[in-house]
Amino acid sequence: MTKKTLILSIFVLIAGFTATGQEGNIKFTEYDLPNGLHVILYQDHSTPNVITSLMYHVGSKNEDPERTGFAHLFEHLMFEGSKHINRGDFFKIVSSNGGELNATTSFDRTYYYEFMPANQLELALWMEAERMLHANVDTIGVTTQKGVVIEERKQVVDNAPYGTWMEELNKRLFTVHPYRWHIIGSPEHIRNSSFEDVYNFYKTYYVPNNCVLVIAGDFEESTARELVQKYFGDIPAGTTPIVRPTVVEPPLGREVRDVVYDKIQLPAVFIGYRSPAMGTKDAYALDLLTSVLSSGKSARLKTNLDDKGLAMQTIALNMEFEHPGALYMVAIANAGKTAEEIENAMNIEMERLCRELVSEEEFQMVKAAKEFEVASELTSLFSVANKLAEGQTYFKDAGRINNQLENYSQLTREDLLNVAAKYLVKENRVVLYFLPEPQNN
Amino acid sequence: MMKKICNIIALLFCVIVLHAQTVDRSIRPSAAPAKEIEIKDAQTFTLSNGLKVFVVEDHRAPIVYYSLQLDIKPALEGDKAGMRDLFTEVIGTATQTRTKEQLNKEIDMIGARINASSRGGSASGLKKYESKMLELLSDMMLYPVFSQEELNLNKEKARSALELISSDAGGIGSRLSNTLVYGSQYPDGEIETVETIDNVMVADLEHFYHTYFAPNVTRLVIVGSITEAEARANAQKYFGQWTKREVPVSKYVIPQAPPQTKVAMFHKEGAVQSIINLTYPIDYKPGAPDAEAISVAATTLGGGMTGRLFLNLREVHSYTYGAYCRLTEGEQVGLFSLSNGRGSGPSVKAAATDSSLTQVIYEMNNMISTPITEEELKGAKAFLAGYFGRSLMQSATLARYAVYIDKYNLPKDYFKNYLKRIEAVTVADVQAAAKKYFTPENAWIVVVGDKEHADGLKPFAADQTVQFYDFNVNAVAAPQTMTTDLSAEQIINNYVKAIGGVEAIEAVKDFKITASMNAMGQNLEVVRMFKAPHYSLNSMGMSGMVIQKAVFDGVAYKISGMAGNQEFTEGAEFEAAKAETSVCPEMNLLKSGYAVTVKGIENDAYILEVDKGSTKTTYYFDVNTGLLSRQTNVVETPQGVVQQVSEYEDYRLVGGILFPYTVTQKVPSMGVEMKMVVKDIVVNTGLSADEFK
Repeated sequence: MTKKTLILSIFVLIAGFTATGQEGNIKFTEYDLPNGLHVILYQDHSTPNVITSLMYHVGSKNEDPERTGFAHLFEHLMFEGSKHINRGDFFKIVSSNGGELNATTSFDRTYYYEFMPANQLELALWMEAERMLHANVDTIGVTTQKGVVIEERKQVVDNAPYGTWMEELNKRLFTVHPYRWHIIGSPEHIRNSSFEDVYNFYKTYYVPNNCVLVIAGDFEESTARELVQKYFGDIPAGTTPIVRPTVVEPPLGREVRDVVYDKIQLPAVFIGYRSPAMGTKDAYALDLLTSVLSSGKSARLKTNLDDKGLAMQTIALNMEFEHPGALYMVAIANAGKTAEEIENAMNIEMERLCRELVSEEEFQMVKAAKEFEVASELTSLFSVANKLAEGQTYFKDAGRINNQLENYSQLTREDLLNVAAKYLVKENRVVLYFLPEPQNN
Repeated sequence: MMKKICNIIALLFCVIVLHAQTVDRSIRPSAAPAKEIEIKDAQTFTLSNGLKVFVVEDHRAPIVYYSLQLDIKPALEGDKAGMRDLFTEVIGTATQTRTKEQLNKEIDMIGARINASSRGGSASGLKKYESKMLELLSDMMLYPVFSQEELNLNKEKARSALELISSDAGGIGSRLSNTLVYGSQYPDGEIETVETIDNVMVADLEHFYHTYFAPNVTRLVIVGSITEAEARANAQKYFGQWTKREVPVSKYVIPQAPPQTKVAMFHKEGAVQSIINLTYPIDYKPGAPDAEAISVAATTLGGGMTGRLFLNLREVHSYTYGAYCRLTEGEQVGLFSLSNGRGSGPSVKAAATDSSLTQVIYEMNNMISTPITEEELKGAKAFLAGYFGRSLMQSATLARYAVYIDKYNLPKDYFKNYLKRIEAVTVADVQAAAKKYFTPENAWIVVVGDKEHADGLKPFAADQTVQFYDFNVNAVAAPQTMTTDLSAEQIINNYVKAIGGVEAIEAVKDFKITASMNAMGQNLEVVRMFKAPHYSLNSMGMSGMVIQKAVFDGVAYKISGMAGNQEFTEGAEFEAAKAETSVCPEMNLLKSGYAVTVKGIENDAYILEVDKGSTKTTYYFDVNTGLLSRQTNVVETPQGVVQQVSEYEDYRLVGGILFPYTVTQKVPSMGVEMKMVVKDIVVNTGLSADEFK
């Protein structure tokens, strides 16, 4: 239920109270190795822990349309071992030395991290260098991880109620841009991928000149520099040209509507609006509009759908995309309510945003919420490492972490109105109804 | 020439430089000296009304967090199960002096998060808004108003939430597991239904509030940018006027593990994965003397991506995306359960439902019978120590540890000695813990999946029975197939009509189907040909090479190809090939002499079962279209009974009749799946008998 989730998120938030600075106070150093690896060092000596993270600038949008799901399959393969790390040992070495690790794949990047006791920094660097230089990309690993990824897809997409919503929206929102397929990809492509496909992907994208290395936590800079040089200094730069999609998705031009039948009980409406690329003024303005709709207790979707008994849950989700992407609105109907009823209520809110300025009070609310969000985020070492890597990967500017609020404080209510009228309109959106499958009897 | 030499020198130089830098990567770096982990004490004090306060200062961010935590044992909810969840939704929505709108607006204006629940309340936000935050939190906790309107709204949502859970296999699994393990006389086992939600009244919420909300059963935790003096002043100012009262303590029936393992199943039609759990209550309370041995045992068996469960079920078998186990302590009772890492049991490949459980039980027994290795012990200890070290990055952890020590009456240095206790655990301690707490023979096995996998689960139950349950955890009979009045003849006639009718079928004198099939990463070319009255050919090739070809010409059935040649002029193979040599073999089923039984309706399909001796074939004809949607063959082979499944989709009209353009063939027990997609079908092109060789 909604409130429990909120409470949960507070604990998560609090879980972030660590030894870091305030807005504008993250002091880090950065430099490039001759092979192109960008290194960012951020020291925080409050507890004896250290994060080593690598962000490779490759995500599902770099994939061949006939080979979707590769970036993510690859993320799995990177745990299969390397020249000096036996298959299956990658996890074991980290955890039996007191650390934890994981990785995530998005449309735009793949991110790996080890969270270790401070005295194990060298181990983490050695391991990451191992898999950048000579990961075990072989047929056994590919076969195992194909199976795992196919089960992952079933668990998070196919077998989950409404699980296909983003895939269904994106394939209608985009016609030529690679955002049109889902990160997890098609099971058929994954099954059919050959060893060569996988190996070429590795040689192209897993190179130092396509990667940002962040070390954050309890370490001395001189030691870190030496170790980075020792393990990454002689890794050769990549020579295969890196494919970055340049295709520009034409405007949607008309409202697209469709119905998806799923094994569900409650109808739901999923709306996707085409949105601007991250880091643009429009994107910041849309982010605040998203908050007006769904972030606080008096947010518009909450008061006009949830609190009126129309919807069980509503969410406005402003995901960040490197290229112009999508903004999502979701409403799951209360029992007995129809998809039409909730869509109408959502439409009223969208139209109001396009017509009227948000109130002074609402404007203050979303800015206060943003200030708290940024302050909380900067108290987590993990978030800081991630933000630094993102700033460098997408904007070649890790320092963006220190002026996040500026981007919002420059905005006016008029900016919000203009952006609403530009993006939150019918001809810029796809509306999907998720309805229960017809019953047998 | 000179240039060339320069280059060579440069090259040499490069080699030298590289050589100087070269690191021996085969050497795994060892750890630098470990750093001291410092555990600060929380400040504690008690107000005169009994409210215990715990303060942890952390001035590194301009943020404060307040949390009021009730420590109570409330009465069972009985026929009002779900009452406390509704209470959580309603409390804090309005107060004696603030309407819902006012309250929400005031909270949002400072960008804070403030919430109340049946367990207390909390607020977090920017330091500069601290007093406003506390004013609101205190108002919500001390002067709440429970309105009928808000209760009604949330009852509706609770009913919708139940519907949402009823379509979520994970949610159903947790619901079943909790109720079966804890039983209805323990709070975690009480089950919310549409009826029990209906029974909750505003008076129940008020009664709960007036009975249990009191400062003398509450702890206040304060973390963040604050001094102890400020904390004292704020605690007194905002919660000092809260009045003390006598709070009752309920007694529950403590859940016991089943005397023998039982299997419970929820039938989820057509589920592509099954959610499995193996779970039972354990006697494991906070501060237990063997707590650290339990942690090591749980870590080794199923604590993350190095646990034996993960390595076995995911890395070796690809049955699942994640499989872990948890041994959870509890004030009155603990719990052993499996997990997918996200709050429900592991989701496993449907065909591997039973195999997954076999592996889980194997791994549990292995922990009991064989000591873990010294290396595993060392690894698990390092893992737990590292986790502990990372937990301290959050100041809230220090507060949580202080509360834990207070609540469970543990020594003051309990957490300061944690690493020492971990270090002292031996291999024998871990095996003793495994013996005591891993009891797969006294467990609940709970499965949410398609009932077709139920038979494979029988051997896990001591009584060889799979008991089905409905959504409200009532034991029910195994789901029945719906009956139909249609006869086998009618169903087959419907099918014949659906694909085009007898006339159209008989008008097809020959056909040729060209298709491609993906099997294990390979692209295969498939050709099927037929010519009346008795010629057929099936061939499968790759890059122009024939892998296998099967030809029937009325006299003999010949198989040739890479696996060798065979020829049959009589017997089962011959008869089967003869029966299949037809535009519509199903038309002849009733004349074949085999026993044909109508089994009823399932999954929107009429089911016909045909017993052909060593093979049993089941046909599924779509209720709405009449078309054949699926066919399963159960074949007895030297390796045991194997089920083959064919699924037919995308019927298209060619030469007056419908052909399926997509055929998927599966052997679920081997995880084989091959999809054949038709490229081309031609009908009545005058194929000659010569082509069937």
